[in-house]
Amino acid sequence: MNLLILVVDDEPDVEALFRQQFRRDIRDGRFTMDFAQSADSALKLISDVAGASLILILSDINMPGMTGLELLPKAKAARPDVPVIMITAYGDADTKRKALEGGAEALLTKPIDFVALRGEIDNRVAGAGAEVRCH
Amino acid sequence: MSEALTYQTGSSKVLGVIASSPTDVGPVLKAIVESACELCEAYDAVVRLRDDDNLRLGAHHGPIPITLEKWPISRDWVAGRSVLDKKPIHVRDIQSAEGDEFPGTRELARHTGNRSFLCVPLLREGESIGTIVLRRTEVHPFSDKQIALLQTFADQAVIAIENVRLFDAVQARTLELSESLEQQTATSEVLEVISASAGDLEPVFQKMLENATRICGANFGTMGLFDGDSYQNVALYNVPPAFAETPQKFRPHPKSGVVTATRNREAFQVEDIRTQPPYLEGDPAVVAISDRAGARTVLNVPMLRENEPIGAITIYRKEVRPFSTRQIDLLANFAKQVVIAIENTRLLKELRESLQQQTATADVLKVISRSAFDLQTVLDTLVESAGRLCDADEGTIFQPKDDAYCLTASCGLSPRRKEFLENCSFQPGTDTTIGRVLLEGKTVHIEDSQTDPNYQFQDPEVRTRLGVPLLRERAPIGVFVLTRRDVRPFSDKQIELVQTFADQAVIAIENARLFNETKEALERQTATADILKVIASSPDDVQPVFEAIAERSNRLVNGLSTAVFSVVDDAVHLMSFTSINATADAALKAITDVPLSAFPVGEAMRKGEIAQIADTEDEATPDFLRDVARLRGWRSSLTVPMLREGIPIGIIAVTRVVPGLFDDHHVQLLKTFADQAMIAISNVGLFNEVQDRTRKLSQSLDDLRAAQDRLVQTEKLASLGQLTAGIAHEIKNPLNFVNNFSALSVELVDELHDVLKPAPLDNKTRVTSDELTHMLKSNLEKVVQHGKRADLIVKNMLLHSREGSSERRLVNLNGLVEECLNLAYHGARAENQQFKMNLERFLDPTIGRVDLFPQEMTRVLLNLISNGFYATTKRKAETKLDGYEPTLAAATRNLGDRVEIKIRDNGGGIPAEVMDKIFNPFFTTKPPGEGTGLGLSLSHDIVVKQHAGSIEVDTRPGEFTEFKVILPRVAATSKAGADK
Repeated sequence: MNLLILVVDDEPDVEALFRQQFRRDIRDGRFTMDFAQSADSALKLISDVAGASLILILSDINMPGMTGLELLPKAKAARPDVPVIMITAYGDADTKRKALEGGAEALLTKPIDFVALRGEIDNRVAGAGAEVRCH
Repeated sequence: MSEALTYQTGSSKVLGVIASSPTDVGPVLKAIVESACELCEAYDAVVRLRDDDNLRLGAHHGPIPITLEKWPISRDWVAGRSVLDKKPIHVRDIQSAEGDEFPGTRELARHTGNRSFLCVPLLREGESIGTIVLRRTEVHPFSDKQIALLQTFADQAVIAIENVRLFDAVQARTLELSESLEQQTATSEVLEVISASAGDLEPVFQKMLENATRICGANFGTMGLFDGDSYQNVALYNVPPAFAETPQKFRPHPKSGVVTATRNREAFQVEDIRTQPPYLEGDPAVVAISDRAGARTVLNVPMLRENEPIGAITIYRKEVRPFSTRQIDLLANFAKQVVIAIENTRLLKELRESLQQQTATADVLKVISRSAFDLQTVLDTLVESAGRLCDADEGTIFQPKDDAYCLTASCGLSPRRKEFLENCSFQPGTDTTIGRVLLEGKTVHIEDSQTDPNYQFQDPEVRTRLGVPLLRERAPIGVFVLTRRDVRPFSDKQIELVQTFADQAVIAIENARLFNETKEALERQTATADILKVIASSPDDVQPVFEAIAERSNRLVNGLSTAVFSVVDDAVHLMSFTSINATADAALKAITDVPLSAFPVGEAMRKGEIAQIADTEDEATPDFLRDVARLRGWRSSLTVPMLREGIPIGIIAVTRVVPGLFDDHHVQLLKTFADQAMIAISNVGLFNEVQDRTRKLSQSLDDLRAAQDRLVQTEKLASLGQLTAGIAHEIKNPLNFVNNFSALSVELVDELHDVLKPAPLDNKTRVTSDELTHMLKSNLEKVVQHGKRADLIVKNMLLHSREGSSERRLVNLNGLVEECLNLAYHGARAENQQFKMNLERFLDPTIGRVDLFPQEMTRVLLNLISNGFYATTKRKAETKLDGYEPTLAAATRNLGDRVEIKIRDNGGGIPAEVMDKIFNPFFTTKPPGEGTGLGLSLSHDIVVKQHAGSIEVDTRPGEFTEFKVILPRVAATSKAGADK
C-alpha cells in the first residue's frame, strides 16, 4: 500500500519544491505526494483516496476561497486519524492557537524548515508502516 | 373908427375899474352900465344878477325908473327869457307884436314908456348868472355892433363877478386856514407842555385852558376834574382874582350847565346864566362866577374817558354872546385832548413805575446770577432792593434752622432791633407776622400791628408789617418781612414786587442748594474716579489703593488724618495711614495688630456698622484712645468697615481736629470708599485667580495638543506597521521560493556531477562539464546567499511593524529593559554564533512601574541595543586595541514623575557630521542591505510623540555612544483627564 501525503497550497510552485525536496523519498517509494491547490479539491481528494493510505495532510492557511483553518475541521471530520499540520507565513500566537484548537497537529512557519518537516514525516511513515504491517 | 375907439376906451375903462376894485363888484357894474349906455347909444342900462329864482338889481344907469328890486325869472319878461334861453333878446318895439311874447315887460313898459329892449345874458361856464338890459323909450332898434358890444360888456361883467367870487373864496379859505393854524399851534403848544412837563399835568391843564379860552373867543375859563361826587378845579385862566378866592372844590348845582353837559355827555351852552335856575336860586358858585367874575354866556364841555366823565372845561364870556358851533366843536376837541393828555400822563407814570421796578428786579437778578452760589449775597441784595423799592423801613428774611425760623438776611435794622431779632426764633402761630405767614402759607399784610388784637410781637419802632412766604412746591422754606415805622399800608404793586422777590429768593436758595449738592457729588465722583484709576492701574496690588483712599478721604471730609486697616482672622493690621510725626505715628501703630475686640469701635465694626466718636475729650472715651488722639491731634472720628459678605475684612477711619458728628454726605462718601476698597481687594484676588486659571488652561491646551499629536503618531505608526507588514509578507513568499529552489538546485547540480563522474568522457569534455557544474553550483550558492540577505531585510522590516493591538499599561520598567537585553542578545547570537558582548546593568530598584506601550517601547530598546551591538562589533572588527571588549550597559533611574533609561555602548561613537541626521527616516550609516534606516527614526517617534518623552544622544567619536530616554511616569493625557 502506498503512503500518501497531501499538500494543500494555492501556490503552484509548492509542488515542484516539495517534489524536488523529497525526490529521493518519492523515487524510493517511501511515500507519494499529492497536491491540491484549493481546500475544495483537497477535500475531494481526501474522500477519493483509494489504494493509498493518507498519512499526513500539510496545509497552507492563507488561501483564496476556503482557508486552511476552515479546511481543518472538515478534514479532521473526514479523516480523524490523519494528522494535519498547518503551514503559514504568519507565525503569531493567535493563529497558532486557532490552528491547534481546530485540531491541527502542529504549526510550521514559512520558510519551511524541511529538516524538521522531514522528521515529522519520518515519524508518520514509521507509524503508518507499523500500522500497515499490523493490518 | 371912432366907434371902435370909443369901444376900446369903454372896455379899458371897465377893465381898469375891475383891476382897482377886486373885492367889490358894485363899481364894476356901475362902470359897465355907464359904458354900455355910452357906447350903445342908450341912456338906460340895468344889470341884474341872478339870485336863485330872481333877478336882483345889480346896477342902473339912466332915467327909467326901477320898479322892482327883485324880479322873478320868467319867460314873460325879456330879461327872464334871456336868462332862461341863455341868449340875447332884442325887442325893437315892445308894444308891437314882438311884445306879445313878453306880456310882463309890455305891461310894465306901458307905465315906464320903454319901447326898445336889448337884453344880453351874463354867462359863466354856460350858465346864466344875470343880464344886462338896455332900454330906449323910443322905437330905436339896436345895431348888431351894439349887440356885440353889449355881449362884450356882459363877458366883462361875468369876469368881474367871478373875480370877486374867487377873491371872496380865497379870503374865506385863508380865514379857515389861519383858524386851523391857530388851533394846530395851540395843540402843539399843549403837546410841548405835555412833553416838557414829564408827568406833571398842572402846566398842561393850564396851557390847554388858556388856548381853548383864547381860541374860542372867551374871556376866562376853568377846568375841573370830577371824582364821581364833586369837582376840583385844576386850572383857571384869566379869572378875576375875586373868583380865584372862592372854594375850588365844589358840588355843582343839579341844574347847572356843567351837570347837564356831564349827564348828556356833550357840550352844553348857557346863553345867560343870570336867567337860569342855579343863579336865580342863589347857588353860591354860580352867583360867584356871575357877580364876581362877570360871566354871562357859559359853555361847558365834559371830559370823557371811555364815555365816563372825569372832568369838565368851562369857558365864559362877560357878555351875552353865544358861542358858535365851530367854537363849541373846538372846545370839545380840546376836552378830548385833555383827556388824552391825562391818560398819557397816567400811562407814562405807570410805565415809569413799571420800568423802575423792572430795572430794580433786573439789577437784583444780575446780582443773583453773578453771585449765584453765594446765597448770602443774594439774600442781602433781595432784602435791600425790596426794602428800597417798596419804600419800607426794614427788610428781613427768615429761614428754618432745625425746628424754628431764624434771621438770615436783613437791611435797615437798627442795632438794637438786629440783635433782638437774631436771638429770636419763630414758630407758626397768630402772634407774629412770620407765625401767621407759616400758619396760612400765604402773604400776610398787617396795616397796624399795634392795633391788631392778636398780634403779640410788638415793637415801638414797627407799625405796618408785610410778610411774604418763600414757597417751594407750595411749602414754605422761608419768610420775607418788610416793615414801616408809621402806619402806611403797602400798595398792591409793592406787595406784588415783594412776592416776585420772594420767588427769586426761593430760586436762589434752590440753586445754591443744588450747586452745593452737585459740587459735593462731583467731589465724590472725582475722588471715586481717582480711586478707581488707582485700582485699574495696579490690579494685583492693594497697597496703592489703600494709600489713595487714605489720602483722598482726608481731603474730602476735611479730615486731619486717615488710617486704613485690614482685618484677617479677627486681628486688625495697619495698612496705610497719614503720617503726622514720628511719635504720633508710633502711637497709632501701637494700637494696631490687636484683636478686633480690643480695637476702638471694634464691636461696631464686627457688626458691620459705622461708628463715630464725636469727642475724644468725652468721658466715655477710653483713656488710651484719648491719649493717642491727643498725640495725633484729633477729637472726632468716623470709622467705616469694609465688608465682604457681611464680614469685616478691613476698616477705614478718618479723624478731624474739631469735635462733633460728621455730615451725612461725608459718611456716605466714606462708605463709598469702603466699597471701592472692597472692589480693589476683590480685583486683586480675581486677577490672581484669572492669571492662574489662564496658566492652567494654557498648560492644558499644550498637553491636549501633545496628546493629539501622539494619537496621530500612533495612528501613523499603526498604519505604517500594517503597510510594512503587508509588504513584508508579500515579499516573503516569493523570496522563500527563490531560496528553496536555489538550495535544491545546488543539490541537483551535485547530483549531476555525481552522475557524470562514472561516465566515459574525454578529458576536454570532462573538464568543460566540471567547469560548468562548478560554475552552476557557485551561481546557485550566490543566489542562495543573496536570497538569505533579502530574507533578513524583510525580517528586519517585520520587526519594526509588528502588528497587534498595543495597549498602554503600567509596566515594570526594569523588567522590560531586562527582557529586551535578553531578546537582543539571543537574537544576535542566533544570527551569529560568534557573537560576544558584555552586558552591564545599572537598574534603579526604586523605578517601579511606568505607564507605556510595552510593544513599542520594546522595539525602541531593541533598536538602541542592537545599534549598540552593531557599533561595538564593528569597532571590535576594526580596532587595533588588544583588550577591547564590546560592552553594552543599560541603566534606569527614577526621576520621580519621570524615568530615565540609558543605553551606552563603547563602540566607535557617532561622527559630528551625522549627529543631526541620525533620527532622520531612512538614514543609516550601515552598509547597503544591513539597515533600513528606520530604526532610530521610529524609536524617536515612539519616545517623543507617542510617549511624550525625550531621547538624546551623547557620544564621543571613537569612544562611546549613549542614548538617554526620558519618559513621563504617567501618560500626560490621563493626567489631563484626571485634572478634569
